[in-house]
Amino acid sequence: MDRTALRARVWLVGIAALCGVWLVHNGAAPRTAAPQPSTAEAFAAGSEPRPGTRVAEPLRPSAPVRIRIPGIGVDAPMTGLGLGADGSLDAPPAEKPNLAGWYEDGTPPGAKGTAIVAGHVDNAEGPAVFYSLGSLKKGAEVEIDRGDRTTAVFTVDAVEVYENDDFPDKRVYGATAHASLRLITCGGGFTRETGYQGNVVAYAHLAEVR
Amino acid sequence: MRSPARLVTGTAAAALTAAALGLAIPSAHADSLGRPELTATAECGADGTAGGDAAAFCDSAGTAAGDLGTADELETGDPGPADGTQSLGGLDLAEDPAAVTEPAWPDSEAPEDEAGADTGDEAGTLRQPGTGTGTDPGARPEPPGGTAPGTDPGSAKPPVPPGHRPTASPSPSRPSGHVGTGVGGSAAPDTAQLAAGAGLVAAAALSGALLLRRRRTDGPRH
Repeated sequence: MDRTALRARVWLVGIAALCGVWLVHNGAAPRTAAPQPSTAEAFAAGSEPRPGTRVAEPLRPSAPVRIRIPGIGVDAPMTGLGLGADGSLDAPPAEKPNLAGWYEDGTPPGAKGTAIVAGHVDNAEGPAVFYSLGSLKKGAEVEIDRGDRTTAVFTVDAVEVYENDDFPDKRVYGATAHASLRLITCGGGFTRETGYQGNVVAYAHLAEVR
Repeated sequence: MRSPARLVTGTAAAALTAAALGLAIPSAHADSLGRPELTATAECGADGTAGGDAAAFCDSAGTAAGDLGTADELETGDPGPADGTQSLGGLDLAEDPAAVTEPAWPDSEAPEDEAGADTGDEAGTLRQPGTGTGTDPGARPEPPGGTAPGTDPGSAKPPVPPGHRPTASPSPSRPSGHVGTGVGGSAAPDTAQLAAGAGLVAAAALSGALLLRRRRTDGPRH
């Protein structure tokens, strides 16, 4: 082996070693948390539908069966959720990452009032159905297929993130005069000790029925 | 159903029974002038956060007895006429599950919310103590089905047991607090990346060792 070839191989091995070290270092660090909404996606004031957006008349109550959010690639079946002993909304089964849930003792999506839909940001294996909820933008569409074979189309009014200790119950769960939708998942910071430290909430209202 | 007093045939026994009932059950007028209305007022005014049910209590109180469609009025903030003596019929009906023909879901939360969460306080204050105490018993319409505890011992309905006092029926509860929808799997270390990096480092080390060894073996020839 001549010296030139040997030198090339040494460089190759050195570069490979450096790449390996970088991969080990990067892989050992906690991965970047799920996308978080920017302040530009928050309500300017209140929590009413954005001016100029279409607001459809509420539908008769009917259970939702599927949710689609084209903007972030969500297409998932839905299941009913109840309340835990502490009054908080249960989450869908974590072992089914592509499953969203709705609060079935409350308002069904499309009916007058505030419908609550929750989905995991991740489970033990990795990202789940609402992983990208924080990247949703104002004006994005959320489609919910219902048991009565109608599709309620919602328009996103805002996406906000709240600390767990400062969760605005009334703002999120409170009643509205029209058909509203809240999409909730975990967000904020993450630590191994406390888990996710907040929730991402997307606010939407019924804009169309298909 | 006959009142117990009418079932007793003996005059003395009837007198004793009447006396006993008189002690146990207040007369219709005395009761109608006080207790039921005070109860209703307490339900409405004591706690505005008692929710739409307390407000509905007030609302049904303010409208014709048995009219369960008064949530709309609450929705619009109209408490209805403040005649507490009419409330009892509405209350009884409101408590009767068979009387409520709502869909499986609360058709909307708005009536309950707007009456309870938002205007519960107003609902409470609208019904001031004493304003609906039936100061004109003769003018008030008869509540359907005899309603108030002890309003009429001789009427068709027996007194409502103390434990059955009209109270706000449980409202559809709403979630509270944050939702636990993440376990951190997407934030945990990337094991695949770790393995790839470790493999690359090992391969580089092995190649380096081989290169060194070959250089040593080739060295004397040069």
